Amino acid sequence: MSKFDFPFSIAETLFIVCYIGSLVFIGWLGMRAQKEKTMKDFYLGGRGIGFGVLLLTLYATQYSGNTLFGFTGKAYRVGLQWLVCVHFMTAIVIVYTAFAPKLYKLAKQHTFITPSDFLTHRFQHRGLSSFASVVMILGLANYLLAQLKALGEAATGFLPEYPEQSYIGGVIALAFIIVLYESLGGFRAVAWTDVIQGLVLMFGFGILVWLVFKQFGNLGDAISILESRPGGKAMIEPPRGGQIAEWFSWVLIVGLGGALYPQAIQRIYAAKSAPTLRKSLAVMSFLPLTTTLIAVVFGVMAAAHVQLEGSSDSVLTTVCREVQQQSAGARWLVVVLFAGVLAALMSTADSVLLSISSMFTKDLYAGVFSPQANQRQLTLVGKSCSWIVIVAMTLAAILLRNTSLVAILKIKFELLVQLAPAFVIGIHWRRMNSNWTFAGMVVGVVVALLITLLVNVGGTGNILGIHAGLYGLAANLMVSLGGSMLKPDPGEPTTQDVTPH
Amino acid sequence: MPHRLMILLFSLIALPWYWSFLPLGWAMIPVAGLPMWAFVAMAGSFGVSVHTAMVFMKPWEIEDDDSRAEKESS
Repeated sequence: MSKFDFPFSIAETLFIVCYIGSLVFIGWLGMRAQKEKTMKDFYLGGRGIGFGVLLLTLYATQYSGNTLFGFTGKAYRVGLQWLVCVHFMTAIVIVYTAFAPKLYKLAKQHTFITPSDFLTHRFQHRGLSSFASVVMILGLANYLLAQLKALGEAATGFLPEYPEQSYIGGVIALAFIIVLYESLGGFRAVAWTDVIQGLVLMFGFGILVWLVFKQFGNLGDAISILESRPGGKAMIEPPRGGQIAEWFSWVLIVGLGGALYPQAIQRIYAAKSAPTLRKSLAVMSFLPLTTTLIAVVFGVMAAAHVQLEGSSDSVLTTVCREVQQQSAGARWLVVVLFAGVLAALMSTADSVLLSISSMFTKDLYAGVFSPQANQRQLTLVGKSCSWIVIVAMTLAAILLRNTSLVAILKIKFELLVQLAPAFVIGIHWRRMNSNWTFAGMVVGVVVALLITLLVNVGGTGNILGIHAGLYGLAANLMVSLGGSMLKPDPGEPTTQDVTPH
Repeated sequence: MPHRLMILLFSLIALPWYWSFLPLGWAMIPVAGLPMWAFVAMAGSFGVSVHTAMVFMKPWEIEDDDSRAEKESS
């Protein structure tokens, strides 16, 4: 074997380099398209985005490295039990039916930029808004870390003989590309690159379908193999007892937490019109069946046919490497799939980074530390913030390489779900009191973190199959709703915004 | 409202809680390569998606304001 056993030819490598280079070019185009040096222009792209861009940016943002590596890896480990991921991704869209219409209306009326702008408008409570921003930033930092780790794992596909070096090099290089085009073009660059990334990702999932059946034959055979294997039956039988509770728990925590992704809320704000937004969400409701279901089928079939030596999150790259050996056509499909993998990871990472930057700048820096700063200064602070965050997260991704992707994903939802009462109930129920909502959010976060960090039953952070975040949410609801009920009805609302229709 | 009710009903079908009360043999009957329970769960999920999309296809109250604003700006 040669010293550098490079799995891609020069032409294939050029294709991937051109694809990545095109992202930077789009970032530059986004910079040229900027109309004014304001936060609204930088973080929401000015007057709003149309159906195609909105749909693809929502798609590319919601489906990430976790879908490709984490979900295939989890299905490899637990089999059909992981079909729950199809349900929880659908649940995210269902939760939008509860609050997206009103939130969109308020965002247009009051020019919201960050999710906390809604909270400030609704509750007029600085502590609540700042705390919510910190919770969202912590949750998203966690998510960004997961994407960077997955980028590193993807990069090991380039130099499988040198996994450590290619992981570190991949994380650093791709993180640099992301922060470069993001700080050049802001939301426009992120949304426009999401269009390319979303299309490549859709094509990549199409290839994954082809790959799985070509490589492993039919699904029925894979199920039979698992059924006959010791311990394999548990992977294909329906959930029982505590597993059923776990299914409901996953659907609730991801459905609520995923709907409150700050970057997704900002896309609600950025929609050009209400029909644009609702048509995009209508299409989004079908995408779990064309995305996560494919990941599960892939993981289950790989479990029947592939013996892994390393982490289960590497099942996709292992299979791709095997397929590459077979023919020139197969090699090129793997190259496109590899580009799809990068697309999934980078599109999520860039959106998350932009969202963190906007919340830090507008909610914390301008909201608490420097209210007098002008728009140009704030945009500069936002760009600097992006660079600082990406450096910190790149270091963390290198140091925390051996933590499972799905484990990282879960901690994020434990935090984000604590925002649900303020957003989903607060937008409709005018009696919801700001002090009690704040208290409930703090209690919820503390309970969720305590259970996650201290109790951590069986290493899962779940008790009786229920996620720590849902115990936190129960405490949160008791405090915020119970406390609000104790307060007298404020009577007629002061603005029409909080009046239920 | 009927669509929201249908979302709830299909969700109850999609989440495979009820197979605990049925013989395991039924759950494992192969349908389209999947055990019956998994096939029913995915069919239920498709039903949920259809009705969620239907909810979003209905215009929101605010759209009158939107179209008025668009006319004014043009």
